Amino acid sequence: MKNKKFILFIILVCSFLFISVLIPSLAKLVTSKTSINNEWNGSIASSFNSGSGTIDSPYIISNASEFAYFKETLKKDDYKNKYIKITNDIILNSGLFKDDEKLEYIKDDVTYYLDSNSDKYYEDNSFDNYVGTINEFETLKTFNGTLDGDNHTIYGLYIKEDNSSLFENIGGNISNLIIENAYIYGEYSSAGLTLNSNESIIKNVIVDGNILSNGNETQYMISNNIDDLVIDDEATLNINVNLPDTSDYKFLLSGTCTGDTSFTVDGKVIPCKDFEVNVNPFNFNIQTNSRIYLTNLKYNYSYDTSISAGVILKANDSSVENVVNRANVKNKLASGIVGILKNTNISKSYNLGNINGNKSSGLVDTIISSNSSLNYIYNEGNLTNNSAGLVSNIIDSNIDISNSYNTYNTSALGNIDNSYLSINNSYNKVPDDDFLTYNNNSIRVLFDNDDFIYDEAPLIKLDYDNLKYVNIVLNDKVWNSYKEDVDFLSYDENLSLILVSTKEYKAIKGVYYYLSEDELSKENLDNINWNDYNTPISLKKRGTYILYVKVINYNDEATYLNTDRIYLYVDDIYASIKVDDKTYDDLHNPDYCFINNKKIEINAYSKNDIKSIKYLVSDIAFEQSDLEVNISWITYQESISIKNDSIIYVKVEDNNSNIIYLNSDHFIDTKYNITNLKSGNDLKFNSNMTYNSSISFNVLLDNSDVTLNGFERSIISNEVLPINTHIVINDLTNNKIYEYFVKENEEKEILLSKFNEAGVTSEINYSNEYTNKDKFHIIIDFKNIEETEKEYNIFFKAKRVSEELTSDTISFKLNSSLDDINSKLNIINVGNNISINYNYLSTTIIKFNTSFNSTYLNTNLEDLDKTLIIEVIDKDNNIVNKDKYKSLKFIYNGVSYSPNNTNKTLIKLDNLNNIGETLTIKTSEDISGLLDGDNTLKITLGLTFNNLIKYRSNNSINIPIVINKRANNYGFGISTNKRIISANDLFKFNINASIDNPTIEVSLYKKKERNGTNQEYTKVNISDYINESINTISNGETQVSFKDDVEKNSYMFEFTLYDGDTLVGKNSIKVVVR
Amino acid sequence: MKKKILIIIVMFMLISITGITYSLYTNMIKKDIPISLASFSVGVEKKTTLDIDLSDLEPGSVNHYDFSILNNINENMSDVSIVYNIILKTGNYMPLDIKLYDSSENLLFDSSNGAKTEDGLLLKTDDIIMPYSESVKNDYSLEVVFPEEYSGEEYSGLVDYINLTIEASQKIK
Repeated sequence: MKNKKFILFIILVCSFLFISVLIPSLAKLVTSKTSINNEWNGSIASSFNSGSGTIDSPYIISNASEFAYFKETLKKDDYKNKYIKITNDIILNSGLFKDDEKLEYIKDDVTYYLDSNSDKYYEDNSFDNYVGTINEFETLKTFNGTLDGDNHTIYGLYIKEDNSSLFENIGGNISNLIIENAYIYGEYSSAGLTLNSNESIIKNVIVDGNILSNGNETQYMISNNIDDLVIDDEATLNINVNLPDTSDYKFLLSGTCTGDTSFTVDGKVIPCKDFEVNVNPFNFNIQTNSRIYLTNLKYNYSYDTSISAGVILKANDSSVENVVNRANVKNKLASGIVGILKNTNISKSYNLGNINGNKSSGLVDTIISSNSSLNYIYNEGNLTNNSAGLVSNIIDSNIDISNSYNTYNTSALGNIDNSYLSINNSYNKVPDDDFLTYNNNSIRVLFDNDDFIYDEAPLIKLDYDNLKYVNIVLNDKVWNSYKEDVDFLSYDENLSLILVSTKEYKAIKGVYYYLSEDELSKENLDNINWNDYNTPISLKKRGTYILYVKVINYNDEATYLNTDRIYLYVDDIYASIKVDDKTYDDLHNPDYCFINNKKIEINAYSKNDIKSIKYLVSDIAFEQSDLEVNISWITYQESISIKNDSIIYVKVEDNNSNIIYLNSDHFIDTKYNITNLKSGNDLKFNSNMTYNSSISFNVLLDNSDVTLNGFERSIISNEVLPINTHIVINDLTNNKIYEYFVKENEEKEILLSKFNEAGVTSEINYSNEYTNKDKFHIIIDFKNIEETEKEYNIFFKAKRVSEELTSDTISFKLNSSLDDINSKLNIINVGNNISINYNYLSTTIIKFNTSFNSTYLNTNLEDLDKTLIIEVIDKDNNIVNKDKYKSLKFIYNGVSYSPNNTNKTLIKLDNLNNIGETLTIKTSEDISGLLDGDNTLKITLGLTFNNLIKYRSNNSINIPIVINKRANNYGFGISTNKRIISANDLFKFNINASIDNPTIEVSLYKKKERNGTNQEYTKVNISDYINESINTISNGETQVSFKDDVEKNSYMFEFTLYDGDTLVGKNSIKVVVR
Repeated sequence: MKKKILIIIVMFMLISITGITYSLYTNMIKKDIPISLASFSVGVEKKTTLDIDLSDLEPGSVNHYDFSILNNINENMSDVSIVYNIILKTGNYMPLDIKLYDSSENLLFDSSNGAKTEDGLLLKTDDIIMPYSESVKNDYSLEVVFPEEYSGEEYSGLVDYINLTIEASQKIK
């Protein structure tokens, strides 16, 4: 028994110990930065982890110590034909190197300051409080084998030498390797991966960090072979090379001499054996006294330079593919991928790093003596100073450039010399006609497009080039990138979302999250309120969630990732109706929701699987009890389109007979239209009006089936309307008119419920209950306001709870200046009339233009008639009585006009702006209505109302009336004792002419029609109608009678007075024979 | 410009039972113009028509001619009622608007609905009944308007006439 208890106790203790170790290691929160177990401690392993160096059994490097072992063995072995594989991330230094104004070292979220002279880092930049020492590494010696990084990372590489890089020379293959957070510093030069690549294949490599140099110059050699020479006496060799722009050059000729004598090169005596001699640049002279043979000739030239490159400093006869530089590169000459390139092809590679040099190149500094191709390459990094987006120098080369582009604001290519370029499908952000700087002998050939014009070039993004710092973990689901198309996941229990670091050692400045109900585009991500992430995110409440995460690194670069759509339902069954951005998931009293013909979706979920989803479209609200009985449901297919003013009811049932009901709001598909917008009541709308004008318009719902019950309607203005603004609203549906006068301290929003019904004695206010179908005619009249000058924007609104519908805005301006209208009315004579001949058979046509040049529209003139006002004015400027000019006829548009009782002839015009209108004035030989003195026909343009003149133009057309004959010297009166006469009835004329022995001819006219309006008379033979012979009569009484059989009609006797042979007057009298 | 001439037309209808009289007054002359029914005549000449001279009316003028028709109950009492019509004829030489109103301002006829004849225009009321048992006087107003719009020269110096006739007969039961 005791033994059993003891054993049980041991088991319990062991279990406790086991659990206490296991649990803490399960979930690693992003911000938990305990010490990194696998940071290099400086030790050197005694061997590789495993492997024999063959392709099937490569040497395995699994940690930093084994990598250090590799470094040591490279000093003796170049691993030619051998294989090496890295199986873990190599953490040489776990802190982040940040080269800002000071060199910082950020470890465990604490920023330290690194003294690069001592490699120690301190708490502050005074280097007082020592904290630790950086693990410094060395540039690996020549490697000619095959290294597969297996997509692992060498993190925290810190090298400081004269010429620094991960490798000094590579003559083999390097692939699938990420160099991150490197700090590589060289006195003269530096590179991320290697200083030299000769006949190598570099593939799938990313370099990130800082590649720096002090900028001290170094010797750089280029060597060319020269064919063997046989010289008998003298030879001059010309070497045509164009050199990169740098400082001094040294040219060296080397080789072997066979012969009996020495020779000279540029005057220098050289023994005939192996030799090496400095020569003049470009050409040098060889002289001999007897035949010599020169073999193994090489022509070397070197120059001082200081150059750094993100990946490879010098690439010869190599292949570079899928290579990305993200590192900052800094030196006198700095480039993103390769420094000096010779016979090396680059494809699917790009630079994103900042390149900082006296001369910067996005991809390559110099291509020399090459036949190479650059394909699918681009630069998106920032360059400084005298830069070329892709390549700064192309010398003595044949280069194909295709599918490439540069987005930095500079030329894509720099100096081109003695080279042949074939360029196609390549783009530059800056269209640059001079992007190629020519020297002699350069040819450029373009295919398919113009010179590097930036367009929407496709972005190549290598799959593994993604900054991934964090994964989102939910049970067995992991998300590690941003995606727009999300899948749908549902859960019926509380959830906990955790963010987990992808790589512990990666320094993160901040992690944030946001829970969204809907998908967010990349653009949206900048505009949301992110929350700091500290603890796992719990989801307990039913709903739909998409978790978005933002990670900021110490370069202030943000990366985003998100989950799929997670639906959490704690009930057995759930459903929702979705339209636009609204989601309904329960049964409720429907409110109003204005939509524009959108489709409606129904989603439903259940633990027991959904059996059926049904819906109905209703225009009335239901209770649940209504829905449970006697309803014709429609099976839901994919979506529902509704017409208008409908509520959607949904019934969902699962396989466990759980049923839920839910409904939407009242969907109303309508909008307000503003129609018939006028100035005044019926003038074409002009937004610039006098302050006392008015506007009118109709507001109606575009859908006449819609009724907006219970909505509060109002008129809203951007500025409070002036006091005494009179607003009239005609409810065209209910045939009622309401009005309102704006008062002091009015609001910008005037509710229609403030309006009173017009024309009723008791005060009846407008009620929102009256109107179901909105159709209003609205007049806003400013006639009674004080002078003002202001702009207004008004619109109509209906609102109920949170739903509102507004019309378009009507904008107008009230202007304070009122015209002197008389001065704005104009009439001008555009004919060449000199005078009107009076008392003479004449026709005068007056041609005129009229205009009204108002500054602003004044609607108060709307109801006035546009009128020509014609008067006869005497020499004293008095208006002449119309009786004195009865023979003047005024004809306009075929209609004859006569003066009214105010002695003015008013002729209405259609509008105020007329060009080339005509007024015809006819005169006849008629002395009735004699004119005395000098008279003028005066025509003005006016605005009248009921023939009362309200306004008339200041100017006028004035035409003298010339009396042709002085007929007004003759008096000629006619009278009769009867005017209603029977046939055979005797009646008398009494003639009184002021001439002695006048000759008076008598003519008879008979009325054409028995019609009051038609007063046309036709001349008849007087002797057929009158018994007496009265063709001529004399002064005094003359008795006359009609014949028995004369037709009952109206007759006109016309008497013509002659003075001798001169016609001096006419008179007439009408009688009726009944 | 409204001229008002008060005319009372006295009409005397001689029938076996009763009579209807009208009287017409001019501003200068009072005339008793009794009318006699066609079927009844007591041998006295009765004038039942009146002429109105419409010379030189001005455009815009409105003239009213008021008259009455009454039944004279004399020593010869009758036990029958009388029915009568007012008939207007005009030459239609002038563009006039002519309307007849009774005392209750009911429109009895309108020239716009007149019948055109070879003599001009004819307007006639419906039958009007006048009882026998009590003394009755029916007042009428004839309105003649020369519209203002006819202000042209051609409408000056026009002349026309109106002839009013009262025709009466025994009402047959």
